[in-house]
Amino acid sequence: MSSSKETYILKLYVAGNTPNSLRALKTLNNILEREFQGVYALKVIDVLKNPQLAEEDKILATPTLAKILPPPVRKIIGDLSDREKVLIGLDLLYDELHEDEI
Amino acid sequence: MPDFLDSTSYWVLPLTTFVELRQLLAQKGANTHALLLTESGLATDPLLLPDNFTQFTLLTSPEVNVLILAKAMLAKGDSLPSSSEETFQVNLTLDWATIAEFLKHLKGGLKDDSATLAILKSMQRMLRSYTTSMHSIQGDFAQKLLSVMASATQRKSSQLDSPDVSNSSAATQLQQWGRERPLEQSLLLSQVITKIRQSLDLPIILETTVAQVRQFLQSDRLVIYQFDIDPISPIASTGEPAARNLQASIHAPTNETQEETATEVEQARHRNYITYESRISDDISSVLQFSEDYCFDKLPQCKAQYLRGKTVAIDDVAVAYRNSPCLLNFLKQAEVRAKLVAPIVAQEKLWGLLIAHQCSQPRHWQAWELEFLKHIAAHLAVAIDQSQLYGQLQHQKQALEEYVIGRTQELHDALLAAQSASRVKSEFLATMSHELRTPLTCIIGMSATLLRWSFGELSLRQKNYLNTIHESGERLLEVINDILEVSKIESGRVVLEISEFSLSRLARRSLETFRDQANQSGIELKLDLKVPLNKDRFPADPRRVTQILQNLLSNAVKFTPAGGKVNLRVRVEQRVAVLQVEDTGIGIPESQHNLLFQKFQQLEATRHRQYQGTGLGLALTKQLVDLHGGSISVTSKMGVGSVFTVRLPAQRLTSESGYSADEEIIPLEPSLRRILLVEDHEQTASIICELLTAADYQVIWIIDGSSVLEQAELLQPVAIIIDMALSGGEGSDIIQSLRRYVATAEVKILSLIAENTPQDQTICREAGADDTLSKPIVPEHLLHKISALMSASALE
Repeated sequence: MSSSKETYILKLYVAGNTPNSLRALKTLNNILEREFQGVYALKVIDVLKNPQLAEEDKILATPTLAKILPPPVRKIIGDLSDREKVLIGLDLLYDELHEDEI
Repeated sequence: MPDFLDSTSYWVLPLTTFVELRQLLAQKGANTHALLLTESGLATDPLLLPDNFTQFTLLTSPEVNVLILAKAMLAKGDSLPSSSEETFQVNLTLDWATIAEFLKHLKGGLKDDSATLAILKSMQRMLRSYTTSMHSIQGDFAQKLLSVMASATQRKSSQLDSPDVSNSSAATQLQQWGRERPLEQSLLLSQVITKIRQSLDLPIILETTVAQVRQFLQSDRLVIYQFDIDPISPIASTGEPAARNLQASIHAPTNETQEETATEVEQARHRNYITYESRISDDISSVLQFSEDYCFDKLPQCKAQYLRGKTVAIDDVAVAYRNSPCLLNFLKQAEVRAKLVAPIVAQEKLWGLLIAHQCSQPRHWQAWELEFLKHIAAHLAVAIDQSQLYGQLQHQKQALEEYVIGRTQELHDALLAAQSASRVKSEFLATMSHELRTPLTCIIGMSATLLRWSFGELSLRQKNYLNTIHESGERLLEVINDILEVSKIESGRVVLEISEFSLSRLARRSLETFRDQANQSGIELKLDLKVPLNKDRFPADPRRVTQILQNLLSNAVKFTPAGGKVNLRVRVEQRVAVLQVEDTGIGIPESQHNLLFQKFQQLEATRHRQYQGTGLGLALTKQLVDLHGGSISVTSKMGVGSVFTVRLPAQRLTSESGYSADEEIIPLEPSLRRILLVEDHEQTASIICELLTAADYQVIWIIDGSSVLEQAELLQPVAIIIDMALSGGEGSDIIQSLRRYVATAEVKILSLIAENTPQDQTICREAGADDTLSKPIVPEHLLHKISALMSASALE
């Protein structure tokens, strides 16, 4: 039997419809498209429209990508242009981190 | 004097016929590869011909060799009536050895004539290279020669038809000396043999043979009396339908008490009768279809004697059958006065009799005539043998053909049945999987929602129960997906999506999925990568390769006890990726290796209880490997562990799928399974997200409706779910602008409405939504509607 696939729950916090926000979404979309083969639910949150949600999650800067599931929760701050950083944040590049152990 | 020519056997021919003969040879000699030599070609004088012969014609060719020697007849002492025409004594031979002897003789007398010597040498060469395979041509040519000579004798006999000649008329005498010629006998024999060789058509062989033999023996009638004729055999059916018989006229001795056996006799009688006949003229009555079973049956020993090859010559039946009035009566009916009988024994059975009749008067049969008839009968037996064998062969061939046709039809029917059964199975599986998946998705989605519910505290026990529900549901869904996948691959509906990917990353990721499970079970996971950097990018279907690895790793982890090791090795050999999963698990007995990759094969009943699984994993893995044109093998030792080795050849990149993961941003193909959700109500959105992710969709949830247009363009979802009651704006406005916008004009839109009233539905439809769904969300409705929209989109 194949291992149970993981469902990812991601949150992307953006501030308004700025080019920065769109770029972040675009980059994330790209990463998900290519590097990610599972199932995910991405919640896009505009902190200007829903400040209470940002507050709950203690979001201080935008854009911020948060991986809620699977644990642990990770937050990636910035416009996601550093692909590697995003991958590591999403636990998609854990292997490189484990490289030394192996 | 050389004795190579039988000086006692010769023809007496008029000059014209002799000239005709020589012309015939000259014609033949004009052929490309033939050589002709006559006495005029020899310069020597006097001619050194043996036995006072004055003229000769020698023909050698690859097909036929003939030598004619002739000298003028002396009138004195000749029994032939004198004639104004000059007559010749002609010796004719086709015999290879005789001709060779003659050539040698000629050569001996021709020491000086080098030109002629050269011709003689070529003739000798030709003679040496002559092969018996040309017998049939030689026979045909000999027949031509014979017919020329025969016409001469006929002319002669008509000229010499004088009344004063007694019993032995000139014609008869001519026949006599003609008949006694062993050459003509052997020619006729060779002709019969030739016919037998050339034709498999028995009736024609028999027909012509009967006619020729009768002519040669100069008997009034020649017949073939056949035994045990199969009523439906072609030989019998060519004649008249039933045997005529003279039984009625010779019925007298039949006893009334024999009536019970009468039918049998009747049946037997009709199976023996005359099947072929040749008559000297129509004055002789026909005995075709005659049957003499009655008398014959009285003499069973007669048959046995015939079977042993006995021949019978009866000069006068009136004398011979004095004591058999029945038989005599019968022969009288048939107008038989003298008869000559030779048996035809084919395949050790008495097939029939070859019978010559003399009708009007007794005839003294010569010994050679009997011998000749016997020879002919023996050759006919060969022909019959061959024909029977051929018939059997034909019959077997026909039977085989019928069998093949029958089998083909059966196979065809079976194939059709199998195809329709397979189609029904596929349809059933598709329906079933849909019916099973929808409720399961609800179970998984709802249990997940409850687990992540942000309000209200769940007790630990409640949480555990929910977890169990959730995990069981997910496991069940996997099983169903596997079954569906197998059936899809089986029906050939799976196409590989080839792209280049990083082998090492895929291997790491696949292994990492099992990290937690391995840690829990106390199993050490190791990755052994031997992929050079320049070979890391490998073209194949990454999703399928991941599936292959995960199936193998899952098994390895499942069957390895705590403290064990699972090792994933990856290397690239030429253009082949070699993936190896090694474990220190329980191992697989060798006897069961071949069962491993078969569908629904659980190796052991006990294992079935101990370890979960449908037994589809490895079968599916093999199918996926096969799809790549690769191979999978296993080596295993009980209690030591197993090694599964997969070899995948590099696939050919198709142009549209071959993008590389560079930093450069390339417009993406719209994902078939991505859904955009515009919903500001947290609970509704959570349920929808959980349900859709459980159903394998990727969901991007946007809380705020104001930027949907840009984000939809960017994300290119297949479907958008929009709540009509968004706090930030009017849902129908968003739908309308989505429809107006080119990039999103084709997207499927499902609108969520508070109540499913016809008015609301109409508003949504008019705005451009494809379907509507009422709140609160009924999970099954959502899944059905989304599934319908997805398949509609896939069809476009």
